[in-house]
Amino acid sequence: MANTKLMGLFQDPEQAAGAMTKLKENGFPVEDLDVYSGSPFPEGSFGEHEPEMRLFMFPLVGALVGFAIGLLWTAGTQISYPLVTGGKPLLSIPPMTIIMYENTMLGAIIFTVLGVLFESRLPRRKLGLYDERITEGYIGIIVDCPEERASAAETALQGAGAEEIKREEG
Amino acid sequence: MHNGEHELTAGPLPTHQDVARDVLGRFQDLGHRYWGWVTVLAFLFVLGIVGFIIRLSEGFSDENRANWGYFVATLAFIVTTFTAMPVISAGLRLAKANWRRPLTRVTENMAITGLLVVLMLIPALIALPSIEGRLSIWFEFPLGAPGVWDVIGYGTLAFIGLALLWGVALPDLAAARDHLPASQRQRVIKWLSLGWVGGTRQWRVLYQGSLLAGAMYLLTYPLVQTLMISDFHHGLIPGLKDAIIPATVVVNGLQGAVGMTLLTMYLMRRLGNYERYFSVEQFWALSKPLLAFSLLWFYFWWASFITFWYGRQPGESEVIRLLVLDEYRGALMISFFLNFIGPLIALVWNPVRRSVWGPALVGTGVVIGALVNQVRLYVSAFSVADPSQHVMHPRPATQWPDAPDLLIMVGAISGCVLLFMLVSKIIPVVSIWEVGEGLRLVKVRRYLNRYARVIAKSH
Repeated sequence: MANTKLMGLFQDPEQAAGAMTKLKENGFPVEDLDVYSGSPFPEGSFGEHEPEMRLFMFPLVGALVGFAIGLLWTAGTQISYPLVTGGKPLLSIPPMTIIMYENTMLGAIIFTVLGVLFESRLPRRKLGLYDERITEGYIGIIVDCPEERASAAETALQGAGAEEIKREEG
Repeated sequence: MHNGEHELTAGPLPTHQDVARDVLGRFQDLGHRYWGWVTVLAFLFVLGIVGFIIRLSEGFSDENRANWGYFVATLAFIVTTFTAMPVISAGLRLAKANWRRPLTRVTENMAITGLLVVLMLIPALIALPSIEGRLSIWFEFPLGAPGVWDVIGYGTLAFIGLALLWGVALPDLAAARDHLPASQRQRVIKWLSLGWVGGTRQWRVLYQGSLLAGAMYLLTYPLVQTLMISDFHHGLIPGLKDAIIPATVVVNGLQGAVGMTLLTMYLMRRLGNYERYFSVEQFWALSKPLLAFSLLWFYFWWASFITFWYGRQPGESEVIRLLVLDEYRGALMISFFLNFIGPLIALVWNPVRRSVWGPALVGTGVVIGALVNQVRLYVSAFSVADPSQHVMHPRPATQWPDAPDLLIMVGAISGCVLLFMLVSKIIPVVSIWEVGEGLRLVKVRRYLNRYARVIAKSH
């Protein structure tokens, strides 16, 4: 069964929220609906589906990897080049801490960047169903539905006051 | 975009669309005035490169180390002001300060100066004497300290800054992609926007990602300032053992960041007609932390000074004479006035704080004071002939800048402003989406016989 995508464009967020309600009332699962906007709205403003994310795991893993590399690097070099200074212990903890810290931060940010790209599904080569007015403050309600339910979705969007309804080509 | 309370009326506030059109209209404009400034700044930057080449031709030997003092002081000044500015937006975003919205992008765009900092760091590291036989925070692994560790530290800060700048700017890059006419510039912006469409998932990720990257910038900036002061100042002056100096320079960096932000906002109002965005509210709000950092400037300086004063060991006495009482007394006095006395006298007055000119004037003084203070700290350190002594002898004379030094200072500072101006034509200098979000959260309501602004919490 082929799926299609529709986008209803709204200038008024109230109408966009109403469209989401109508679509849900008409049996469109919330997971198949998305909201495009030019700035973020407080979570749940449109009754939208909250996507599951694990972005916080990325910096955590990156920090652990960076810390481990820092530890191996500093301890390894001091053990490989054993320069005993004034009878002090071979492993010099304070400078090791600095190096481990900067490696931790480096690992954390590299993984965070990767996490942001992965979790937000970027980069996208094609914008798909989109309208340039969204970055001017319009709200786009995206409906992903089977071909035969497209007209019902269109009616719901129209009924909520969509200024324009776009349909995915091809 | 948010006026002072005395300007409140019941009239309609601007909308996201108004902001987008206004900001993108200015962003699109690449007039003669813009190119004129870019040309002047590029010329000054080239002069700085000439100064650098002159210094390079004189070499990096121990006898010539003093020649690099002003170069390193300039590097420290950039780290203390321009590169510190993203700390402001990161901190205010974490604190959810609503008034921050129009100014976050200005501070984040300055993260681009991290690239210049990393480039300048390399010759500065080469100019350092070997760590063998002198005080240093490093263990004596022959291939690492301090070069590799400093490059990793500074590089990490630059990388975080660029990640923060790019990530938070994605929605505005998309706006520019959508509304700029087709051109080479628009194609670059389109590529940088990575296909952003503003879906629910993307906004959630952007929100969390900006907080994470901001927190990392906040955590890494003190590290970089610690490396800077330890390797380029503390480790070069015999007898100097100051436990709080890393914290001192971090506080100085925060003060410099606020000062430079105020100065930048003032210049953008005057030269770029951004009065709508940088209003009294932003200046007033930033003047309060500026006053706090100015008091801390004195507290930290005094805490260090009094330790040496009571210590009175021969090495400590020489340090006080070099940095406070004799050779660099003039520099300290200028910095003392511009970074502490001036801000204290001016900013205790509410009418001064609650104005555009007052905080901007104090901020300009703070920036100048920061430059003079870096000269005091780093030029003095680089002019010490033998850092391996226990007691500094003889104390180096005051070192005044010569022509290459002046060229380097003017060139590097111009380079930072040039980078900011160039990046501001790729990434809009006012965050459209943050201002748009803020406008939606604000309503003006009648309250008894006046109007009051009601601000909703976004999360």
